Amino acid sequence: MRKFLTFALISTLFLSLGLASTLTVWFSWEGQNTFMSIVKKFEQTHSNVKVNVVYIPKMIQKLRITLASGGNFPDIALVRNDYLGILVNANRIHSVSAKNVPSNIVKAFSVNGKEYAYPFYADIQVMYLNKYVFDKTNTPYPKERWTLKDLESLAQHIKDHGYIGLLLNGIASYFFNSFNAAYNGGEIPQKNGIPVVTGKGTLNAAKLYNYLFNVKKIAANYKKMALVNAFETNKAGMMFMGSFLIKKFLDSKVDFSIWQYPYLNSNQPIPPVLDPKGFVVFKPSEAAKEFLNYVTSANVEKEFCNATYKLPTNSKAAEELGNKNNFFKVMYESSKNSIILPTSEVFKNGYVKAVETALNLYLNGSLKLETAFEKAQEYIESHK
Amino acid sequence: MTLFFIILTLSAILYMFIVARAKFTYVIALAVLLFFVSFFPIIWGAVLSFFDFFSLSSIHFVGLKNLFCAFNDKGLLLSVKITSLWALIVLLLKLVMSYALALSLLNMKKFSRIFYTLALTPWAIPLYISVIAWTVLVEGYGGNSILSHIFLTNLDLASNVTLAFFSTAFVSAWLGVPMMTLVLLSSMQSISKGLVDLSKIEGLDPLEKALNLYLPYTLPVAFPYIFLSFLSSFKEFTTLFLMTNGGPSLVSGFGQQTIVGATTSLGMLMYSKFYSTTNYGIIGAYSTVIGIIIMLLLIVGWNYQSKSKKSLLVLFTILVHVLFDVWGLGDGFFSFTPLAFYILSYVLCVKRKKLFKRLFVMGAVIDITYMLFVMWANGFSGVSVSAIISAVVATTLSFEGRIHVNPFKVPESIWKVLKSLWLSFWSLTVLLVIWTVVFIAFSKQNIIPVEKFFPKSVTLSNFYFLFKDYAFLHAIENSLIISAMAVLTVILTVFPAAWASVDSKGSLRLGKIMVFASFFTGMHTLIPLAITFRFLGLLNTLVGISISIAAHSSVIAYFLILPFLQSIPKSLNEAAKLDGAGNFSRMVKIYLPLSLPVLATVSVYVFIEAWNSFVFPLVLLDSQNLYPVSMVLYNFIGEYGVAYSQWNLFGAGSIVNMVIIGILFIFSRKHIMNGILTKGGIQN
Repeated sequence: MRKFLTFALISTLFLSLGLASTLTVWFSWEGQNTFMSIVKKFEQTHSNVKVNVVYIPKMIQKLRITLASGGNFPDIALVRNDYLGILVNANRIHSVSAKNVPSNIVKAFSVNGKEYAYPFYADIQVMYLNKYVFDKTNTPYPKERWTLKDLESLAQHIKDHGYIGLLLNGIASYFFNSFNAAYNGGEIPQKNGIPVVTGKGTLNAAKLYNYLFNVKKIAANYKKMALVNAFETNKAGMMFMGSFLIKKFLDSKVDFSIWQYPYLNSNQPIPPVLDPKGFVVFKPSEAAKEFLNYVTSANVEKEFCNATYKLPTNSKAAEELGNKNNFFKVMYESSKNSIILPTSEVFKNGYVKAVETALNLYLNGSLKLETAFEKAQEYIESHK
Repeated sequence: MTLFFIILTLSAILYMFIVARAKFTYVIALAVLLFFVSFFPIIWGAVLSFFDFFSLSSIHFVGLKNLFCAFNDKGLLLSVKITSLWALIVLLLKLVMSYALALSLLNMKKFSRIFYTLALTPWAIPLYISVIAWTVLVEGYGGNSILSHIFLTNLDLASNVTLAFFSTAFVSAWLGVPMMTLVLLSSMQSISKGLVDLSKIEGLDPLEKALNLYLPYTLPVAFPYIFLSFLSSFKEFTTLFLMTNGGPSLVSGFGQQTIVGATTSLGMLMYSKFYSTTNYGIIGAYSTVIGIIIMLLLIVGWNYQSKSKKSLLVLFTILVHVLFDVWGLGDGFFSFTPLAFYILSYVLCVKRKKLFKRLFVMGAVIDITYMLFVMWANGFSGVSVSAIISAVVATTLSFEGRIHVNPFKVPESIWKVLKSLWLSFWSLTVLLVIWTVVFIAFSKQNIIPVEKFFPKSVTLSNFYFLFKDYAFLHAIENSLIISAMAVLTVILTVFPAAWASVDSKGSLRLGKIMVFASFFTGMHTLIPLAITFRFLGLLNTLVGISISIAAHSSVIAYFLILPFLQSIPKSLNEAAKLDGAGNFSRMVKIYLPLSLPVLATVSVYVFIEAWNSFVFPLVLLDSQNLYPVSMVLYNFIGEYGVAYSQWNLFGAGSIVNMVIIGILFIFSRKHIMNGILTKGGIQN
């Protein structure tokens, strides 16, 4: 009897191991530990599925090398929405259908009318206010619905007290997109899917940059590392930046608060960029579907986003978390005015570099405004 | 996949022809290593350029389309020009600093151990640490740096073209000074004592001694290393990637096809191409074109070694000059003027040696003057690669057989003060880099050091979190595995091949292939290498990383081991042969024990190279649990201008790293010095 039981036990064990399917998931960006604990919980409740999570520090690099070398893709990978174009063109990912997701997020993960990802969370651009500098300079905090004029006067006030009024990465297209959209009625102008950067709106956005950096000199144009360093060391009052820094600043005990982006004028908001991440499926299976339904459920997204200060893409989770504290409230409210960047290859391979070079050359006085953006347009056209 | 296997088979057949006459048993290991890491990726990249290649399942033959696209890309041409000028400045800075250091260290009696250690320290600090520390010192990530305080202005590497260009050149030169100094010290030992004494009797001051004795006597001996160092600067990637990421932007670099910044070297260009196109056929075409440029430069350098036939050197310089002029990398129509001088110099080369040199130098002066004039008007577009090559050749020729007299004689005491100032400056640069890292490592706040000499509040918690939260111990293990495997691979493959080369011309040919291959590989062959590694199952493995490093370190290893083996008396070999010892037995029982000193040097060299390796893990590894120390540290900082930086963790990790390398360095310093400062060192 004992022999029989032992045999049965071993057989069951082998059988269950043999039947259990293993999913490989590539994960990137912040929240690795929280995600691992979510995966553990999933495995406990779904004994037929094992999940092998591989942390990928630079997802785009990994995807490109795997594509180039014909390497093996995982079952699932967490990607940013603007990577989709490359993967869809290479015919490597499968269309999916996500539930309980707002239409703008669905659109963010769609290419040629088809959805390609299970949205998981989003980062969003916000205005960081340095409380230490605000207190030191007796600067009043902005109103809830503030404008560019208010921003200008606050920055000037801070500057008059010997601090940097405003920090902005003036050559990153990632931040310029918001201003570009604001001057173009809320959208980045495109013609037949090709970004257009020679229009009046785009040029006005660039002129605004010149006004802030070179005319009024109330803003400092630094790259991201320098921006963060200047803000952390209380050298500046305000900073345009992504919400992914909230957790880092809280951990570093920086005395700060966040605010929504100001309005361009009384009607037109400056829309912050919503930066959504979602899971794409390389190898469809029941196990993959089960896993994705689990991690993108309202409760799980809420758990992940609560720990990492992210904005859930699940509508229910976003609403619930939106009232938790001021950080989530500002992120949630900001998302209502936000824009999502196009997923096309030309946007990623052409537009980004072209706009950054044009801005750099215009702001340092090497090129005239129109010439800089005409050259940028030529570069974009040749990368379509 | 069919194409891949066809190319693999054809390259293997071609390769077999090249190495067929070598002693097969002894060179096979090295030959296989080089085939997969260097030779095949080069061929694969070249073949790929004839196809539109989006993935292994999507390939279309396009003929010369991609190559035409690369050849006609003005961005590529501008990048070649920028790289040439940058490489020349790096070389000049490196030469000046290394000569000054070598001359200061030569015959030094007091504090020689301290200054030798300070001279070699940049070699012991991993590249990714020292480059980031230098960026902190120069720019300070936000204008608050030591230099910005000294110059009372905001220093921004992202917008200041001159600052970005020269500071990256200085840092790259600073990193190369230790090795160059050792090579120069080694070549200075070949100068006879009689000549040194004669210079003392003649009352030459230090400058005259440098120009009339040390420079003319050491330059020909050290030239191969100097030229290799120049070509290495052509492929430079890491310093530029970490400091400026190819920027700042240039008006002339804002092309339709490619955007080139003030520090977009060829390595940077290939990296950005990789991220801006999914057609790997185009990347293959660019790598082929870059390979052709490097080959043309190599031809000139190769002919320099032929001392007796200066005519060949002049002839190839003229040919390369013309090719670059036609291609748009020279002076355009103005080239006819300097070329007339070079051609006349070639005609007179055999009969009238003095006039030949004068004419060549005159041509080069015209070339460079015109280039500077055009650069003044047009910036980097005015750089002439052909003028730079001619100037390098002319400079070396002008030092031969001339006596230089210093018209401004200064007292001996002034020279002593100058020497002390120079040594203090060098020591300061080294100590500043170390201080920067120490400051960050012990600082409680996650900031970089600028305002105060000591951090506001000191902590050890950075070290605690480093090991607790970031699995740093595991990264150290990975680095140890990679380094140990690389050392083992180099010893097991290079030693037998070098031994076979002692009396086999066919094996020596393998050495030449290694030199060629080492210059064709770089950023541009990493994708073909990734494809090869995937095929071999080595992609994303520690073995893959270690054999890549081993293949790249094998060139220096080979040229360290070979002269050492050649210096062993042949009588020993003959005696063993008479006693009936076979080839393998003689190699293992006679040559191996005698070669232990040089093998120790090679082991230390390869270990440090592997430990410091950054580019291979960056491109070929993508699982966090396989990351070596270099990648973990890099991830704390991120590439220039992109990520949220965890300075204090980076500092703590750097200190741990420097302690490990420092311990190795202290124990092996004697071996390194002995291995390089011997008669059979690099100079042969």
